[in-house]
Amino acid sequence: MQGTLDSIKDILIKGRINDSYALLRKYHDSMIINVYSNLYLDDNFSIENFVVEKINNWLHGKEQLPEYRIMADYIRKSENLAAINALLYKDNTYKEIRDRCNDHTHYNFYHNLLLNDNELYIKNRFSILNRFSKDLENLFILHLSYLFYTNDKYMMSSDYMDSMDLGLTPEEDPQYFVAPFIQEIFDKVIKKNRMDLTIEIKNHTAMRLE
Amino acid sequence: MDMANKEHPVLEQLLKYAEFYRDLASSVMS
Repeated sequence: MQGTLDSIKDILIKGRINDSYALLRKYHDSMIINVYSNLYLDDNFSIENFVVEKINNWLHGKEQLPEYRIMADYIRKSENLAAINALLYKDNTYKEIRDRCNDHTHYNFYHNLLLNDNELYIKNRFSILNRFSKDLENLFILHLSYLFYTNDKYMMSSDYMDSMDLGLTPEEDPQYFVAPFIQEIFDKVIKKNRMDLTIEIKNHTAMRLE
Repeated sequence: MDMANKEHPVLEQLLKYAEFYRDLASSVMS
């Protein structure tokens, strides 16, 4: 995902908004794959099923993952994600973003195609970029919300390991300390834009998110 | 070339998000 975002930046600098939307669709796909595979592992992992076959086969190039629609549906119907899904999909935001990405990818309208011409003066180019920025932000919020909701251990700071490495006694409950870069992105992106998600994520985790 | 793309804050936003994924991968792997 880091690479896709980097590619979007390179393409946007060259003035290709239409191509950037096609890559934004790819970014959306990759986060759905990431969330689906984590969720599917959680749902199917057990002592008897130590290696979850479908995911293992995908990792080793023996089997494809289901198509996007099926993975997205699996996530939307997950009982474990019901509360966060209710907030994420309380309106049509993500449907509209997906539709916009599809329109650009498939050239559904002539004006989509024009947005790839960097020689063309388009009077509302700045406002189209503003919308792209908001779409990107909303997708990033979607991924972070799922990540923090399903894998709160990802938030953990290195305090415990650092203390052990230095031979020091760790502070009490260091496993609940949140890494500074996580707290920063949480504050600047989720808390700033979506207080409803902020409250739900904080209520759902023992991690000490502020 | 229309310069709007080169001046828009979305470039900084993309950089910030990419850095986050890099830091997260590094943190999870360690």
